[in-house]
Amino acid sequence: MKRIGAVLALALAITLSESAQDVKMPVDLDKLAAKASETTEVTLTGRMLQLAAKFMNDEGDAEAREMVKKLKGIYVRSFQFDKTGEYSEADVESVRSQLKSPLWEKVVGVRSKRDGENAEIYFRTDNSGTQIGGLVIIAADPKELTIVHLDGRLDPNDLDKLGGDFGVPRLDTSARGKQAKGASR
Amino acid sequence: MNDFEEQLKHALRRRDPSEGFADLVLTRLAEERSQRPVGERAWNLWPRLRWVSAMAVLILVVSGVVYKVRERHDEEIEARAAKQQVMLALRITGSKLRIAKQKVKAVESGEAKTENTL
Repeated sequence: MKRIGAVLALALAITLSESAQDVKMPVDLDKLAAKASETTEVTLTGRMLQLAAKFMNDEGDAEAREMVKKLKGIYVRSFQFDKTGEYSEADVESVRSQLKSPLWEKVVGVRSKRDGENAEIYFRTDNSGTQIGGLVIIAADPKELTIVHLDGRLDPNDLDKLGGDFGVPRLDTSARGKQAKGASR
Repeated sequence: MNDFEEQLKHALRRRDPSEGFADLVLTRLAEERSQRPVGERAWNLWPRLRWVSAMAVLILVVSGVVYKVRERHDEEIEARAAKQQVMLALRITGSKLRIAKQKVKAVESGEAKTENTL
């Protein structure tokens, strides 16, 4: 009987732990689409990701394919508005509130008072604590709100590739030390 | 007409069967039928069944092949759409990472407030 209890407790702990790791795109966020002049929504999970990876055979797809194979989910919500004030801080907070320590670590948080552009990057460390288990980007400016969640294993090389090999300029992750030093000032 | 022809004509002359010959043939036929396996009897009873079965198997095989080809085609369309979405998501992610990096750099010139950096 004690053994059954222990197993149930363990199962409950695992379930709670897993659910605590999930980041859900709030329903209210999707309502912003009605106000937005342009909306980009991407939701890809397990089977679709594997299917996409299976057909990523074109020249230059190899690196993206290897990254996608490791991911469990890709979620993007991006809204562009014609005027300011179409989304509220509460909309952003509904995502931000899910990214709590110790599972999630905020590695970048930039607020620009001049142009109102904000960017936050959160990493989730995996169970081994040596690799990134997920990535969330919250990019907000007065007329645009973008939330990206890559769920699954990533390594620093993947971030490097994201910044360079998929048709966007390369992110120079080698400059991390220098930037960290600059921020501590 | 020579002797051989005479013999042949005699041998091939019409003769009536012995009495009860027809009953004997029918009885033997019934006996043979009853001794055959049920499947064989059914097979022989309905010769068209062979054609029907063959057609059914052929239709099944062709349907299976068509279904598989269509399934593969649909899967490919689905996969190509998924791939486009993946590439779009990765591009957006890359561009936002780049913007974050630019903002972090701007911290050095005192244009923005940074809580943490890469």
